Amino acid sequence: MQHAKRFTAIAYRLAAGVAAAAFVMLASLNLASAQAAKGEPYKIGVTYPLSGPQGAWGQLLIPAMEIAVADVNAAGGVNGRPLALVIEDSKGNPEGAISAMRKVVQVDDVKAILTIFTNVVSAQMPLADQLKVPLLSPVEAPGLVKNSQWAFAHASPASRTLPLLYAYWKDHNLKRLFAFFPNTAMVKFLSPMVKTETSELGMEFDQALFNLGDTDFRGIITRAKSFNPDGILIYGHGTPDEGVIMKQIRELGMTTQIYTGCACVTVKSYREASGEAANGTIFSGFKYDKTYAKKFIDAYTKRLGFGPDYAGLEVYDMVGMIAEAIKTHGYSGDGIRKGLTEIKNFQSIGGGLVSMDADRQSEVAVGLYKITDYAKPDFVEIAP
Amino acid sequence: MANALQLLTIGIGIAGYYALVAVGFAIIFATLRIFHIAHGTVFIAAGYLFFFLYRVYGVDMLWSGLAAIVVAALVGLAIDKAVYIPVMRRGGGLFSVFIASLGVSLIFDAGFLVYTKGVITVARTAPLAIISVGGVTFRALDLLVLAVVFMVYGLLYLWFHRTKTGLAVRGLTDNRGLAAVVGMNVGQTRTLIFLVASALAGIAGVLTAYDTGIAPDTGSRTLFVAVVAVILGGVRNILLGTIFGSLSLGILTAYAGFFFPEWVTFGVFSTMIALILVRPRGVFG
Repeated sequence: MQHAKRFTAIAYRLAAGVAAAAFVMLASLNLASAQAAKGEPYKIGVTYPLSGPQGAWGQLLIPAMEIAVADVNAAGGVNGRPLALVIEDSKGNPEGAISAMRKVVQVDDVKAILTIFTNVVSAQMPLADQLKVPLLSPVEAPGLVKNSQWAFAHASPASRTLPLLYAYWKDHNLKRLFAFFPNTAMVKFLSPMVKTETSELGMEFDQALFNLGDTDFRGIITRAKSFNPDGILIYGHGTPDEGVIMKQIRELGMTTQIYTGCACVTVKSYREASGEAANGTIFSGFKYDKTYAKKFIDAYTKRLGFGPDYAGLEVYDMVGMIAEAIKTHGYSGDGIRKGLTEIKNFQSIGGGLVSMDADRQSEVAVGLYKITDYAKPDFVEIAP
Repeated sequence: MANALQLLTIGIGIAGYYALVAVGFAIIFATLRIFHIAHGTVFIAAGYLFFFLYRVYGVDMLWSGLAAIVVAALVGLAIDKAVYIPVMRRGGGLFSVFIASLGVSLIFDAGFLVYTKGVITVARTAPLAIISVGGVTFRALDLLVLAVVFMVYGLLYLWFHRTKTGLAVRGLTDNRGLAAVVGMNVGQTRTLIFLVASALAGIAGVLTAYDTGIAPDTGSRTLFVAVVAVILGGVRNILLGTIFGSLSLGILTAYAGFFFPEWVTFGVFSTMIALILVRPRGVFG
């Protein structure tokens, strides 16, 4: 009996020892894999504007990419090798972007490129075809990336965000809508989309185009006021101009409900420009779950002193998508292209799931939100 | 009718900002023939300083504004002493000074971009008080801006016409060579011109930082419109010319925004070209 008890005790101790040893081994294996990102890095080219009028985009979004790379590397890298960014100033224009792209591909030998802006991507696509290097960007122009099998987009295009607003307007019986669009290529597809849909909803519609960079829009807003709308749509590139328009609408005494087509309130410049006028605005945009993205938001805030905007989440995702593509199809232009084409139910840092459609435009999760506190910013998801 | 009055009110409000920047630029251009692109840098430096003192460090608004205006005056003077005068001493002509000015402007713009990451900064957080009279709505701030413009132009008029240094400024405008020959202290007058003109850009920078906010390129953009106002009005009569140019641009911008918003820039600049064709030296010579 004594022997049996002693044997049982020894057996328990042995089992506990083995379990502890196994735990330590597993933990060290896990740690080893997390620390194993070494060797020649897999390079991702970044052709973003760092200077000039569009320079703010690079200054704000590259830190988000760097955090994404750091997170991938901290988790063991891709197939044991680290990721690295090769950054080149595109100056935000086609000429600068072509020069930057040639440099990162032909000198630095990157196998994939993160880029931005419709005019830049349009210029880079023929070169991407020639060099066989995939481009991944947050462009929203419908059908743009369809023109090259090497071009991919990850953003929330109007074709996904606007239907939520249409449903809301229908449900709330909106009668007269006045829209503000930027005087850029964007209006070519946005204006007909909204006009057609509002007409189908039996709404009266008028619009005005504003010039980016202007500081006083009260002349245009007076036009909107004379239309006497019961809804105002401000849909642009998420630039501060839109925040200024919002503020000046209130400063001209209008209390009309404002709608926007992106989570622009997460853009610091935008909410600085709008001030309190943004409160109560309803927007449809990229799913931005602050709880889910907390770790990233904290890391970004630590670096820049304020939180990332929705585009920061998009570019964070893009680094992860390229890492995923390298993991599944290897580090080559064609491998990454195949990998990106097969992206399915990719977990976005914003909380939603992302899949790449047949035209290489990501199908992102979108939501309809109401801004409750522009300064934080806080917003609640509402039903369309 | 209500719309017409509303647009007129808005146009006059816009013109106030243009007038403050334009008059400083015009004083320097008319007297020293320097195309002072870096005037926009002075404007933006004042705006940023005001923002930091008032909003970030919580200094009293008036003191923040005054400090920003004083620093703007000194920045403008420093640009002249550290850049323009040495360029001219080394035999550089007005074109070299223009290029140097452009360089200063680009350096500051790039520095502000790196530091601010291009994020727009607005000094106020509370909404502006608005006043409605008979269907016309305007902002209390517009009244303040107009009061400042009246005060500034009034003081400049008195300076130009009632003081010895003001006479020297007018002398430089009329004939720079002759002004030096008759014993005018050109160096001292030049210092005064840069101090006053830069302080005026500072006032505009502070008001803009409080109203719509500033970004690294706001200075260049604002200066561009101010230059157009100066060209429209002409520099022979600085005060009348800049106020005319600013009012024309402000009102035109407001009406164009209402009637053909996508053509605002086209309309404004077509008008400018047409006026220049008719009056190449500006409406007031």
